[in-house]
Amino acid sequence: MPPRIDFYLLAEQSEQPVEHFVCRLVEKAYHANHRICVYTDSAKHAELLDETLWTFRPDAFLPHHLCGEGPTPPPPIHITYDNAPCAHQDVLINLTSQIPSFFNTFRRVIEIVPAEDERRAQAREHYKAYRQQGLTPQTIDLAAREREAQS
Amino acid sequence: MLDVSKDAVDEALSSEGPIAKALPHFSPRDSQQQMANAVQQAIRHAQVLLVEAGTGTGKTFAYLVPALLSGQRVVISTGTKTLQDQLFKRDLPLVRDALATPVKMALLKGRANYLCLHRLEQVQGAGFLHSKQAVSDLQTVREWAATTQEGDIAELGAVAESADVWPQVTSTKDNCLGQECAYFKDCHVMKARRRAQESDIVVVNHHLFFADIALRDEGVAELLPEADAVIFDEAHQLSDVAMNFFGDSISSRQLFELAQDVNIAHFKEAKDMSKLLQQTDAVQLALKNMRLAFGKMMRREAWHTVGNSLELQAAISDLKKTLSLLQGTLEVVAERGKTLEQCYRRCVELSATFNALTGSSPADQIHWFETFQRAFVIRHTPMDVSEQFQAMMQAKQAAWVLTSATLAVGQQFTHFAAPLGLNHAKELLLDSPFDFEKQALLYVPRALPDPSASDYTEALIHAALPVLEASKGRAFLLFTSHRALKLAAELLEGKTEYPLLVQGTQPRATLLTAFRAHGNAILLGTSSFWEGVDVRGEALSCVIIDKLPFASPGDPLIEARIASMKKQGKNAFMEYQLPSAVITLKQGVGRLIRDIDDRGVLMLCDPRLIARPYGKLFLNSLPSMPRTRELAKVQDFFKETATT
Repeated sequence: MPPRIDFYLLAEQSEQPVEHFVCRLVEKAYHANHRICVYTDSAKHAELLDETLWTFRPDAFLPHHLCGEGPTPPPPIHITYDNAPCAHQDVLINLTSQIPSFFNTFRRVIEIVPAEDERRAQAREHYKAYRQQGLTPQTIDLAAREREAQS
Repeated sequence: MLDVSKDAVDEALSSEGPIAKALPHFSPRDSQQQMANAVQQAIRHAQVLLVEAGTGTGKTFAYLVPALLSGQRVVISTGTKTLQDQLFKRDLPLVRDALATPVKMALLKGRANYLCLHRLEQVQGAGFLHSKQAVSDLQTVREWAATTQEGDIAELGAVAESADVWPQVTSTKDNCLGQECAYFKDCHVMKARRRAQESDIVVVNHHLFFADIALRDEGVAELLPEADAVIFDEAHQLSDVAMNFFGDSISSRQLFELAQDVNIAHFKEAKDMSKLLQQTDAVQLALKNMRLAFGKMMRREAWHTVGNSLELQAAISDLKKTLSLLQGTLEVVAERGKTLEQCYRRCVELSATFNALTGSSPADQIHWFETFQRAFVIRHTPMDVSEQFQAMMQAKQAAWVLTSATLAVGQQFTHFAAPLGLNHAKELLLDSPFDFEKQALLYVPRALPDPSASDYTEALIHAALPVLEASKGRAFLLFTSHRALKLAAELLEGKTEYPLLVQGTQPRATLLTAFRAHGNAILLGTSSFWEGVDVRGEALSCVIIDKLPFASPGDPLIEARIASMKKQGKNAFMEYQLPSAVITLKQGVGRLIRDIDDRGVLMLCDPRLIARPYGKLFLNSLPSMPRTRELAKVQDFFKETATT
């Protein structure tokens, strides 16, 4: 089965960094019994996400590890970068500017698209690339949802 | 009965009260007053009360004040002899003088802590002390014996606590002649017990408490019927201590001592019966052989792992034979002297116990053994002590207060209360008054492998070194195993400029004194440093814990409990191993912030804390404090400390 692809378009000028949104998304998926792999740009970015998962809310607890550390078997939430292999193939959250070469081994791929123009343009490229592989990505426009909620 | 009001308790612990006047640094605390009121209510209405009082609550005063004001008879039991001395010599007189209450108080220790005049007389001249050291120690003891009032062997600092002479000049329940003793009137044990009987407040320790109850040795057992309240401090240890004493055991040492005492008695009361000497020699040889049959190693295992060994079975039956020969001769000579008669009775009892403990395993008991360098112990430990504990509590209408800094797991008392059968107790949970959000930081380092990985300790030290630099020493490194401690000590050697103090190289008290004196030392310790250590101020600013402290499932007691829970369809990990580890971790973490001005970093190295769902239970059971995985934040934390 080819993966389901979802684009999450983030609202502009959010007070909170993108990582907070990712944490909430991870939290939701974890509580729905999914295993999640978060693919980041660099070791530094991975560590930022790790720190955010560990601290973003005092009452939240999201069992996770960075690639290369932690106990075996690995926890349900995995943060990785640089094509490092992922421990499982359920939900992939892509935070990088590339489409990871291994995306189609997952059941579901989530592309997080921040509001900056450059990232939006990149996302359109990714969208096209997925289409060329015969996939039909969904778009979830959080900016629009927010506008609706406010109106 | 004096009826103490809530007002009197509140007033005693208020900012203008007598305690504040006696202690210049005292400041009143809500949680302390809450606890004091709860204890007062419990004493007044003979209730059962469980109190978890986080570090800094001031729980000692919170129970001493209502206990002293109540005018009732109160037994207080502490976790160790050291804490017992501290309470009796420091806190109790302070509160008594401050409140100006005319209470009589007494300290009661186990009989092994008091000189036995009969045994001192027996051993003198019998020539059974072999080493020069023992002979000179005996001389020192004799001189002291002539002057001591209380006969508490802790008074005699000149003779080491572990000296061979002590078992020779102190009594056990086995070898005590009781009322038949010529020295009964002057007996130090009896005098200590009498003082306790006549006092309002008696301070004991958990070991003595349960040993006396279980062995029906008088002392605590005869205090209880008169007590209006019993207060257990460090109560989180109770179920382990109770398990230990509500069981049966036989040790090679008990049988060795019997043989030695027979030798001495022979010298005094039946010198012509040289047969006795041959027979005690045979018993001692059989004991040595039995120790060898367990193999050289120090072991702590279930009995079934050795029960079928042919070599051991042969050693057991040899020992039984030698004991039965000795018993036969003793029966004949028993009438020739009190000591011989007593040795005969002991021989009968010990043989019976030995037979029971080397026989088949009872269903409701854990049957296990331990070997030491030259000794062994075989034990039956009850799986469940709740019935015995309840029977003890219900024997007398009294208040029972059980308190500790660590009773609750994730805000629940079940894990503590259920094994003791405490189903309807009043519960009170008091958070530490310290501001952990400001005073502390929880750091979980990155890049550590699975805790069972062979390179785990190396990775841990690699992660700890920059933290130790940032904290400028001033740290405890607490380990869950001796192996990891040894390896870590080797790895740290030469890698840090701060003084390293390693458990096992010096006595515990010496290490702690050195740690406080250095002010920038790094102390490496295992279990004995997780509890009851109080280092206030900057000398201790960082506590590093190597792993989540799960008890070894290979331990025979743990193994048996797990197996029994599985049989009952329970989840042993969730219901037993996990909550036990939470309590231990809470104890270790409790070392860090001891005062309102303390600041410190808690470094929990185990990656399972973040990666396993149960990490949440550990976090919820600790005081809430900021978390990080960034070394830079740890460094910033210590920079702030330096500037404030």
